[in-house]
Amino acid sequence: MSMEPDFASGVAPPLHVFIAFPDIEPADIPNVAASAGVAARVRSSNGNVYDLSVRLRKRIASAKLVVRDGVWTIVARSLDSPATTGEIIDKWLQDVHPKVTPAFFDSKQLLDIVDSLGRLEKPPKINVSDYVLREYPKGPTHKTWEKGKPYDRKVIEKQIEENNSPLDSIKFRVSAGRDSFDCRISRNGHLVLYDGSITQFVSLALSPLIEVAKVNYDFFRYRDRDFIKDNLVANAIRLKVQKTIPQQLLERLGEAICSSFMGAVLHSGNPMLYVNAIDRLDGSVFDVCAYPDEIVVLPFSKATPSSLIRLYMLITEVAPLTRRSSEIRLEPA
Amino acid sequence: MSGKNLAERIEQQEREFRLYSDAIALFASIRAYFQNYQFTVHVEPTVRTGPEARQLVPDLLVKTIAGWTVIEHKGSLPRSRKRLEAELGDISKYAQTTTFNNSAFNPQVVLLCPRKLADDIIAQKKSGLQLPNVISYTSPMERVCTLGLEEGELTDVYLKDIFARNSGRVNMDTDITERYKYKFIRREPPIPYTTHFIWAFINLSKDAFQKEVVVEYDKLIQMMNDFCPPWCAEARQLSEGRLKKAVSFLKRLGWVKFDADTKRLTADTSRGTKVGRLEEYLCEKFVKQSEEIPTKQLERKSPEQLVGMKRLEEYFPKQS
Repeated sequence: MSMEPDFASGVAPPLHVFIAFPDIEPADIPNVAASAGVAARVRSSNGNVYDLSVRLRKRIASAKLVVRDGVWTIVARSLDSPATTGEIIDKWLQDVHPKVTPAFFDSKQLLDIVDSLGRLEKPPKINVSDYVLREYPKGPTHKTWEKGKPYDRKVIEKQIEENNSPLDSIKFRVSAGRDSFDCRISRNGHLVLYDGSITQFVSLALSPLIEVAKVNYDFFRYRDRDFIKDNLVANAIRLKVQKTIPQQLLERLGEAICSSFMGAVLHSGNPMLYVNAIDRLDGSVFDVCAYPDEIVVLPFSKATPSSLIRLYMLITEVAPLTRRSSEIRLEPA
Repeated sequence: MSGKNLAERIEQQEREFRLYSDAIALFASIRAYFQNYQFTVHVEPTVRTGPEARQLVPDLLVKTIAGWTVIEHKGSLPRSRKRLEAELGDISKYAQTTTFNNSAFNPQVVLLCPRKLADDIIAQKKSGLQLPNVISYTSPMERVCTLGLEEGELTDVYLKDIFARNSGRVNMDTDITERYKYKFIRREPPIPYTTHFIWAFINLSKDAFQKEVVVEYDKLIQMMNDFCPPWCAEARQLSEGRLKKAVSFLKRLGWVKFDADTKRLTADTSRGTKVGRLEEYLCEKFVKQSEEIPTKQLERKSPEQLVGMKRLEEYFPKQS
């Protein structure tokens, strides 16, 4: 991903970077934003790069929008406090959802990116400064990494299991001679470069994450129940769990689905949970059946990737040790 | 109506909602399980029974090379001995010459009920209660549901063999992927149950940021039946009658408007988005509305309409 000409020169960190998947063209942004009750302006600046300006009440954030291979990369420089710009764009992305879907990453994928840095030909030094776990319904919990302690993936994995919370974000510094960068990567596709080399950050963190995000997004595409040669075909999504889901957690999952979506519980997690869920944002519908050892999602005739990703994010928040398995196509009986 | 009664009625409505869903899961899973053995399983077929050829609809009719079995499902049974005997007698009525699809046979009869219920009625055998064959299932339903032969001896050698080989208990997978198309059986569904599916199907026509959705009534039936094809005899899963009842309930909730001329439903999809569990909300509203309707109808009657109605005193004239 060659973003250097657009951002490398004259743009001082911290930079907020968002990876997202659009269901619209950049020119549609103002109309979509207006439908969502928020404001945004877009102007083509150079080929596939656009100037994007979003407004949240009285606060405005300006950003560059890069469109490439169906992926939007939104890059914004912090104007005032480092968090503000990120918050504005983050909130704006939530508002225009499901027309624009933020990328997502599993805990494992975030840790894989950190690990991959250590496998480079000339491995850089990695210093983790903190990480955040997100527990449903409590929200984020910050964990500080002991200063000077070498990065160890197993420590974080143990915390994920013990706290029953997925990894929400991880902040680390990569040092390789004169080149170094300090960044945070998050499960919702929001990356922050606090300091250091943009070139290194793009090649070592952003570009690999965009590739992972594409694979993740593609996994949830074309899942609608449909007729193929007069035969009804359902595309089930099977989520395998690494650790048995206890009854209490199944019940909590049912409540979480009914709260984030609109859902009727047909079996209430005793120990089988069966929920028929409607996405109030875009009308996607799916059956969710959760057993102690597996969760199966069966989309109806409309199930957008955006909606399925929201569901998946919710499931992994409640039952974080859930992994996607390969696609299963069901032929009619 | 006291508060306690209202709560009980809501709870009963929710129970009926789940029992209906359980019955579908159970029938679909049993059908899939026996089909693995190459048996034919008909769900709620219409049969003719006895010398008068009475038309009846058993829950399941299983055909093996050796013969036919009628399986009647009961999620609950009456506590009173007299009513229990009557209900069990109803099940036994299948044990006579029955015809189905031009075949005449004498089926064996099986009562299918939750394990606890099976234990309760078998305990009453000592006091002379006559029982058919009894197969129990684990309730509440789990991923693997165990069918246990609790009472009687199956005459169908193939069915008998399946249970005998597994010490009287067989484990059946209830995986949703076996039954995702099955939403209704012929037995009349509770109205809140139908309503939640209709609401889901209405929402399928919604686009992002769209509040009002217009759906053609006929298209709704067609879409529902295309994606949920018949599986109980040839009966459509969503009949017009079922849709009518659900739409009428949705209208009373204020979630839809129906234009009788164009046969179009206009739904406000922003409704019901913060109600928690939809089935609980629908059951509660349904029970409360059922209680309100008669009173409201009476309230709405004009004095002219009330002319023909006798006052209570007229039935009990004052004693002179």
